Amino acid sequence: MIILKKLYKKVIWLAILLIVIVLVFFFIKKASVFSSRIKHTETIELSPAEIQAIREIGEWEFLSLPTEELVDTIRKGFFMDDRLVRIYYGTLRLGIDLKQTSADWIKTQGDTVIVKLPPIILLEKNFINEAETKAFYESGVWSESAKQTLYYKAYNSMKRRCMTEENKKIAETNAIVQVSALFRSFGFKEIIVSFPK
Amino acid sequence: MSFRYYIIIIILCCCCSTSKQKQSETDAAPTSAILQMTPQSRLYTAEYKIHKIITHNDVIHLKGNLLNQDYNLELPAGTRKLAFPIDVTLKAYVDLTQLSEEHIKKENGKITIILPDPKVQVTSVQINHREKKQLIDLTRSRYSDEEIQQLAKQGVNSILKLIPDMGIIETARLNTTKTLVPILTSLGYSSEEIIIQFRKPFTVDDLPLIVDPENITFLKP
Repeated sequence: MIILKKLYKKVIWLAILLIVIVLVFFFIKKASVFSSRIKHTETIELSPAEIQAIREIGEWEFLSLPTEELVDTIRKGFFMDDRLVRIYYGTLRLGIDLKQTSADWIKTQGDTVIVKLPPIILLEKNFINEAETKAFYESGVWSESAKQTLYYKAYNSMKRRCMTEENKKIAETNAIVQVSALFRSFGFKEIIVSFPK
Repeated sequence: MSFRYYIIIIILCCCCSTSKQKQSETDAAPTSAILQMTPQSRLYTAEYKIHKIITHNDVIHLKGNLLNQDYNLELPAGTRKLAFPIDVTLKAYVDLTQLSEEHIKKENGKITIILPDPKVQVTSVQINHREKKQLIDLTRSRYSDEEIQQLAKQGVNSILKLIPDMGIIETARLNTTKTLVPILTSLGYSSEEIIIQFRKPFTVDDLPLIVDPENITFLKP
């Protein structure tokens, strides 16, 4: 009987202790007695942007080729290999530079206009947008020159793929359509557009 | 074999591993694709080359609340700093596909052209990897490639927000006129007979209209 009474007392104390713990837990959570979190600086600092050059250009774009390139490099190690995989994005713009036109590139004869356009070229040499580049996978520590090498590898591959004779022909065909439409809206009935052979 | 020999073997293995690393950096074949070929008729007339040094000071703070009192503690040896330059090329253009006979009026021997609004395109973003500087405290890791790309995006975004103050739209308007007037004079019009009109002045509110939709992703915070 005495043992039962002692056990009964112990159970009651245990229950009280449990209730107190639960109450304290809820009090802390509700009243925010203690809370903490680790915070990182996520945004860049304010710094000025310097306009290095302002240039007057006359570039007429006839074909845009947005493209992507997945390039990777592997460094063999004894225990495991390091790997860097990046996806580069860029847009190659094909068109003409009006500064390359001759003095008599537009000639009129009655209601006919003859337009001699310069050759189709790549309008922007540095066509990769590195802010859009995706760092797909990176293991190990990579030097800045290794990253720069990947950039040039992607650049050459994109340029080789897009600056084809076929794409230049497509740009030329669109140039003829667009230039004709412009001069037609100026009131000319017959428009002859040509490119150097 | 004693414990000492094991240590020597492990050190030798590590040495072999590092010496091999330098020799065997290989590049896998690139995978590529042209996303969408689009015929255009854009007349680019102004180019701005912008240089910006992006700086990031990453400090770890322990923030919280103790007995309804806010605290904000800077953790020791938990700082890392990064600085790298980026070069951005912006080009302003007029989309000539939007120019039709409705926008060209001929009256009393004069020609009036109402041009579509100029737009700005980010044509190039280059990160200067070689001039990148990092200062890392003992408890922190180096900036990952992904983190650097995110910071570069923020940098480009901050440049785009400055477009209305740069005067690129005004320069584009002026240069478009300079480009079109010689074309029209060679068609027989004198410079007094040519009128080229544009829309109202641009403000910050017009930014989504000015920046090409291709770059709109940059404007999202």
